[in-house]
Amino acid sequence: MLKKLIIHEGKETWKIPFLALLTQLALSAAAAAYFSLTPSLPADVEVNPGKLSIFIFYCFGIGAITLLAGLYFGIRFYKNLYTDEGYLMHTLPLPAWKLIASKAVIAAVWYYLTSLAELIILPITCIAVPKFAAMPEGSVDALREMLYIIVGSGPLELLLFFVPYTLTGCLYSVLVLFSAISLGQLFGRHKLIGSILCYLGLYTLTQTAASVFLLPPVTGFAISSVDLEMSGLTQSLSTLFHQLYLSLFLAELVLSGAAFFLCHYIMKKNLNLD
Amino acid sequence: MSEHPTDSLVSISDLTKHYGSKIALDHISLELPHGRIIGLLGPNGSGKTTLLKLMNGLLVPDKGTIFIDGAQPGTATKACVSFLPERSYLPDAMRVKDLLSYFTDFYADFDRPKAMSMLDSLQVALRSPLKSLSKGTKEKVQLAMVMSRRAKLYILDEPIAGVDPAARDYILQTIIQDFDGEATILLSTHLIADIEKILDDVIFLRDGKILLSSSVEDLRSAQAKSVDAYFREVFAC
Repeated sequence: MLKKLIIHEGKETWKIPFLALLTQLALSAAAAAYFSLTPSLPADVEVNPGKLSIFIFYCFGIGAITLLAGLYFGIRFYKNLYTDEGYLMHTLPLPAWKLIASKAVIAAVWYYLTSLAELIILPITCIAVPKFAAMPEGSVDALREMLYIIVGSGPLELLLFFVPYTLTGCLYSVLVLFSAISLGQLFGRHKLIGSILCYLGLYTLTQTAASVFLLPPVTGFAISSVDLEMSGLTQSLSTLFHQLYLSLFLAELVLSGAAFFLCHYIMKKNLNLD
Repeated sequence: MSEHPTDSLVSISDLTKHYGSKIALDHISLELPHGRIIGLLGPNGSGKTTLLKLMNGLLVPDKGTIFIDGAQPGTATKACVSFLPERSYLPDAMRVKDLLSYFTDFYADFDRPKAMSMLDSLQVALRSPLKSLSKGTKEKVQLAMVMSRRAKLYILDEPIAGVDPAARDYILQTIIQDFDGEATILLSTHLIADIEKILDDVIFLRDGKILLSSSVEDLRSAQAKSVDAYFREVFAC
């Protein structure tokens, strides 16, 4: 039954995120073509504001599309389970957890794909930055090295650290959104505003907790890397990223479970469709 | 406790529901037998829809219990209860054929050929997007889906409200045609004159309380008037 639900959910929702993904790819292709073909920065110019603006708009555009795709699934969750359409969904002979799981799986997959599309920004950054800002010798290579470290420093690390982290990250984002929407249903009136407030509250809470959690290792890294040479710094930074990815993966896994449980509890024990 | 052995199809005990400070259902107890067409009658705001939503697990009661075919509202009861809400629940993004797939995939008792035949008689194309249908056609499509299930209990909330007299006839005919004598239909309405002829039993509800629960035959002989006339007398403003 869960498989059937997932298939139905996929069929009903694929158009908008697919369009979002296509738009991201088209924007990236256009940006890559533009920055590849555009003339290099003259030697006496520090920054080209026009090209810098185009690059910033491109980055914001890609990020905004990912956010809109996530928001679409939030609206879909609300509309499909807590408005008139909920009369169809909640009278299906299925437990609430299957309704939530089917929506979370589809939303997380699309959110993941649109998030992956954001990664295209990284190589485009390497192409674009020398075209709008004067770069010291070797800084583009350093930038490439940094990007390489961020995505895991190798194929095996990519699979072990970056991919699991981003996957759980997407699932976590989706489930926090779903749980905020579900929490909003506990409000007697203004449920939508309640949902938005709950999301802001949950977001603030988790970001504060993450900051507190991340402060010691990042500070430790900053102190210990003061005297390191470039190669040592790269190694140290790579280790730090691996630790962060692993820790955040576990934390997000636990929090995703908690958000799922919260959604399920509200839907099972406090469902009150208007 | 999740099992409740009883001869009745539906057993409701001490059911209470508030909306804030307003009481919607006030300690209701009720037994509904198998094989009857029961009218849940009352003016607007009497608690009819609240009761039906509670029976379908769309609301959570503040107090009391509901047992349908021995189980509390949940996965098991949803498999044997076919519910027509007062509003359209059809997702705009769906086509009629998607809705058919939904019912086929999730309801083991769904009679797809019957639904196809009813849609055909309504001249609704399977490829039609649901958002392109008129309000009246949407209601008929919804009714066709609900009545195409071989359910033990059909719960119909205001099935004839807001439709023209010709559509009312279609709806009533749909409700009673192929009616399985073992199943029970519970339908709420305040348009009693139109529906009285098909009812076996009536329940009068006012301000969240049951005023009367009786067979139509007994009511007519005791009051010497039609259910509609008696309803008008009881609920006169």
